[in-house]
Amino acid sequence: MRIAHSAAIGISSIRRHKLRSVLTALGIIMGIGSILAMVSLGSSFESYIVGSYSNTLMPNEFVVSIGQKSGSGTSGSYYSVEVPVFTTKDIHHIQNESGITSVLPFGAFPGNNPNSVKFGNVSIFGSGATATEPSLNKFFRIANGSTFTSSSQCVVGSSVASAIDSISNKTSPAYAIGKVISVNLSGSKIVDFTISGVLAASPLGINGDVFVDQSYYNQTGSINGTNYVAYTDLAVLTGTADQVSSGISETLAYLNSSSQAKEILKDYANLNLGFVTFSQTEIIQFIDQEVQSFAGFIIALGSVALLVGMVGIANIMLVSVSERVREVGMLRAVGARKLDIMEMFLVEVLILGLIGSLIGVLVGIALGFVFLKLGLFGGASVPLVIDWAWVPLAILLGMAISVIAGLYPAYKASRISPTEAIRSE
Amino acid sequence: MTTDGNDSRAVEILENAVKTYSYKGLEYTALRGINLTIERGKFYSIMGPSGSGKSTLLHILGLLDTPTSGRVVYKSVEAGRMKDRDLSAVRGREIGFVFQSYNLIPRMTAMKNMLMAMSFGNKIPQQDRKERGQSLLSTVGMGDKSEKLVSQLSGGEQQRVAIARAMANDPSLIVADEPTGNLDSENARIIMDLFTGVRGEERTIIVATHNPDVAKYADINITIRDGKLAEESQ
Repeated sequence: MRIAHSAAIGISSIRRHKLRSVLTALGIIMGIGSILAMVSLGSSFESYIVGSYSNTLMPNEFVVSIGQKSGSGTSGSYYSVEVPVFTTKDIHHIQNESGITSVLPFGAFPGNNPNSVKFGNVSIFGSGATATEPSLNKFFRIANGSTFTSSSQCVVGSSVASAIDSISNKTSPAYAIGKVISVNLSGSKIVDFTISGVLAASPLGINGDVFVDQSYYNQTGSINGTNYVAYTDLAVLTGTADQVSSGISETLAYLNSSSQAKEILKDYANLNLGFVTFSQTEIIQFIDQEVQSFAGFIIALGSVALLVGMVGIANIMLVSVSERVREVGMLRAVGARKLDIMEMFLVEVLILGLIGSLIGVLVGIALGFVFLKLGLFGGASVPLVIDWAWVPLAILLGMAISVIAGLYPAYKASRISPTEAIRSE
Repeated sequence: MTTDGNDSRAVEILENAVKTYSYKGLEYTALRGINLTIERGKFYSIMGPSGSGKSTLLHILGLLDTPTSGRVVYKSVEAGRMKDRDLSAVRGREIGFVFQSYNLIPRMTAMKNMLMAMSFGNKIPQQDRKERGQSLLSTVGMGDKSEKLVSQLSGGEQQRVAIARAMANDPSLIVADEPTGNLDSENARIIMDLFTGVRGEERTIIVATHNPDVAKYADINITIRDGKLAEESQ
């Protein structure tokens, strides 16, 4: 029962000094708030990105491209570049590997420029043509309309469709269907296409693409002076999602040993190029890693806020102790032990920590929401995902930090001699 | 541990108690060898000018402080050998304190202050505490204000609550330091009447004061001057 009275004294002190208590808890509020906000932003971002990749890339699919290596050694990262290297022979070979059901070639037309694609007289910036087959819809999700069925039709990426919308002052996602765009296919060949479908928005870098029939495609790669029609990227479907990783390793093993693509790449020896693959699993793993290192950084920042908060709590608790010397002396006179006095201040700081952490959780959620509304992720409407596992953890952390900060002031209070306390009147 | 076989009426005995304070290398001796026996059921006043050492003596008698040398024997146990928890227990259960500036917790009700003292004393059974608190507050004429916040009470009322609190754990010794120092003469009279009322066969009261009117209530007047007992008169 002693602790109940210690708690009652502590609570009455907090209630008496409401403003000061809030200020005391401010460090904890901000520390917990920022950690929780950042963790929520991280998981929102993660689930948004993962969601949009899985929206585009199927679980049993991978993409093979050419990447330019930046940095040195084996750990450097690759930037995807468009180089025509994958020949028909290569495509057939990959198609016959175990577990692989179909392969779709993509041929990006070279020399895309701001005037590559026009709607009416208006250029759609950042847009360019890519040749492929009508089976495109089996590899990437078409959000509106359907795949092209003739060489006069095309399928466009989501940002091409929204550019057409904004040129026409429309907002309907299906507005672009049936509209005609003119596309500059390599140099001077300008062709009009009727849009038959719009792809779902994708983080793969295909939102600005106009997909047309491969009969227009004529890019080649050369081996010992002979030219072969060669594509820039391949999308590969496997029977099941489990076969993706073996499919990737078989494909890479072939490409790096006996493929024509490897021979063609020799022409680009000075560019430091290599084969790169993307799959849902790989991308999710990569994002997980990114989010984790981002979270680590933010948690380090939040820890600094908490440390500052801790110093603040210790400081204000010391002030509170020195203001309550008389009260402590009186309590000692009526039989409170040193331990009771310590307990009293620790309960007080624990309650402050709990209140601070709870407010911090609310502040964190609110901050996360505000950041997302402010368009932190380039205007994409990312829904807030709160990682609930962090909430009790954050509250515990806030309380633990408060108690640690309160230890020295509480100890100091317990050392107050009852006579000094009473004499201070 | 020393027993005191000679005087069965003795509650507390001071033997050659010396108290020296040192502050930044300066030493100040507040008590210079006090020998004193406090008897059961008696009402003592300690008088003396400011700085004479009366508060120091009172704190030592109340086991709030220990002498630098000499011995304090409380109910046959030497205080200097008691640990903090034992001293706290004795203070809580055996001694009631009344201070000049009341020293209640102002942001709690009169009743909460009573219950808190009983909780730290841990002597009165849990189920009896509320009733006892109410009856003691009634005794000091504060029965109808038990649920008022202390900060809403006048000085005289606060001191009455403080006396009720001092009685909370049914102590054998009540120690009061200038209990009427902040009160007008009417309230001072009420307070002193209360002290007279709560003393009994077994309960000892010690009041430090420099008001001769207050000292009139005592059975034994102890005068202290320059840290020494000047006289003890009955």
